[in-house]
Amino acid sequence: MVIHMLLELKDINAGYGDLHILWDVSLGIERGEIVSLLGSNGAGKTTTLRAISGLIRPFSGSIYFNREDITGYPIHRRVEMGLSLVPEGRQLFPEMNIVENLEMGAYTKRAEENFQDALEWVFNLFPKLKERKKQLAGTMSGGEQQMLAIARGLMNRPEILMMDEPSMGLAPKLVLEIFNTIMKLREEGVTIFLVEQNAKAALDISDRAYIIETGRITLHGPAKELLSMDEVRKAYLGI
Amino acid sequence: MFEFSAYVQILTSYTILGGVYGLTALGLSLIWGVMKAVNWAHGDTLMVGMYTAYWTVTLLGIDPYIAAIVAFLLLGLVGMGIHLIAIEPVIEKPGGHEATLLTTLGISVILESVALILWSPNPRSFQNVYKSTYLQFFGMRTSVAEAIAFTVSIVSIIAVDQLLKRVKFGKAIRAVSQNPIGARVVGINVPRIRLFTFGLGVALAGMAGALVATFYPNIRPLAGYIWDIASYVVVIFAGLGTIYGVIFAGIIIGITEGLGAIFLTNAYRHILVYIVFLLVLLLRPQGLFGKALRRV
Repeated sequence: MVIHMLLELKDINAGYGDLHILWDVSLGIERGEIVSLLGSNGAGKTTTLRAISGLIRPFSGSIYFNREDITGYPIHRRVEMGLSLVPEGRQLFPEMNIVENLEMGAYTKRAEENFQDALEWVFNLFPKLKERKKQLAGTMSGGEQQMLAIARGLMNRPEILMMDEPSMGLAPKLVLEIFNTIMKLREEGVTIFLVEQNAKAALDISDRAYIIETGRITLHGPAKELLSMDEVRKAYLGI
Repeated sequence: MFEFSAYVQILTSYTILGGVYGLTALGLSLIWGVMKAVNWAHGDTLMVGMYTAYWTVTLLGIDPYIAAIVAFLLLGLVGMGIHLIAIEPVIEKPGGHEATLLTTLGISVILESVALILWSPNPRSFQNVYKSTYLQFFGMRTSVAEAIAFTVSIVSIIAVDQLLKRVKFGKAIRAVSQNPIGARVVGINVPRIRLFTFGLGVALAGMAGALVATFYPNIRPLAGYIWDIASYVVVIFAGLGTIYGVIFAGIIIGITEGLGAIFLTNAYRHILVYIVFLLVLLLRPQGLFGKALRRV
């Protein structure tokens, strides 16, 4: 296999202890793309993100980032390379205020120097965060926390931003706002890997998508093609 | 009956003692309050700090305050060793924070046994000029050794508080304690931050032990207990997770102990401390300066 994409997974098997969740998962993301990973609950979406980000080590297979084999790298080294994750459940620092959470988002050396620029950038994307710099993350609403989680991920000036179900538990209006932000990010050159249960919304903004069922990739292709396929429409779009 | 000035003298002494309680509680506050690992060996690391001062002063003849720096550095290394043996292997496991109660109890037994074998159970103390020199102010007097311990206590507590609030490393300590997964996601090397946090907490305990040793006449292998219990009370009293609260909690407990000594006689002075402590737990379980728990 020729490694040429920004991020590539090759035959990843992963899970937790005796629990084998991902079976030979291979996928790739080009620079500048929005790529979605879709699937139902428990299909292995979050596990895929955990393996890429380094929160778990795969049993076998390889992960390449910028043509470098990062399979054995610890998570902090991957973040330093520009792989950022907006994790499931947001995982903010509840007793820190908005600015402190963003400072922590810029913890890496790659982010430290351009802290002020990055701060201005995310405040432009999320003006609400700017209005309440001193508010503690733990006292914010779900939608605001999601915005802060995305902003924190962006503070690292990532080459690729991975998002785990950013629309989960949010009101439809906020979901729209989050997806609009994702499109805006792509225009600014951020590569996006989006994991979603909200398949319609994700396919609408994606270039390509992968569909995962019980730990295996069963379909992939351009988002528009997937949107028109009967099996996708029945299983994931409820049409 | 005492004269009024005698009361003032007693309360002054106990205020200073309370400040020292704050110092002995500082390392524990960092490890337990901030890092949320239980260090049952906290008092024993204090005790090792006392012996470090004792031996470096009596054998090498160096100044006790240089000995305190030696104790800080030595116990920092010991602390990182304890962390690698007793904390890091269990802390991320389910129930890991509770497990540290048992693993550090093991460390505690080891430290006490080794100290008993090496140095016998006999209490020791060492002569130094700071202990036998007194400061007089407003008719009250205190030894220079205690006044220095009190001052170092306040300075160290402010320093650690500011470290956590303003320095990147300190903020990372808070981030790891508030959300380890979030900390890993932003690229913090979590095991390394924990190693240094625990090391710093034990280093502070070692320094506290060395400073207490300058005026405490009872350096012995089980000496840690008295200071250990005081430290736990101070940390809970202040509220888990607050550093600056430790200085006020320490002084309040010191003064309460002094009032107990005046009104209940010396032998029963601790009763008043624990009555106040229980009242605080009932009325304000998060401690005087702590915040109620919040989750994301």
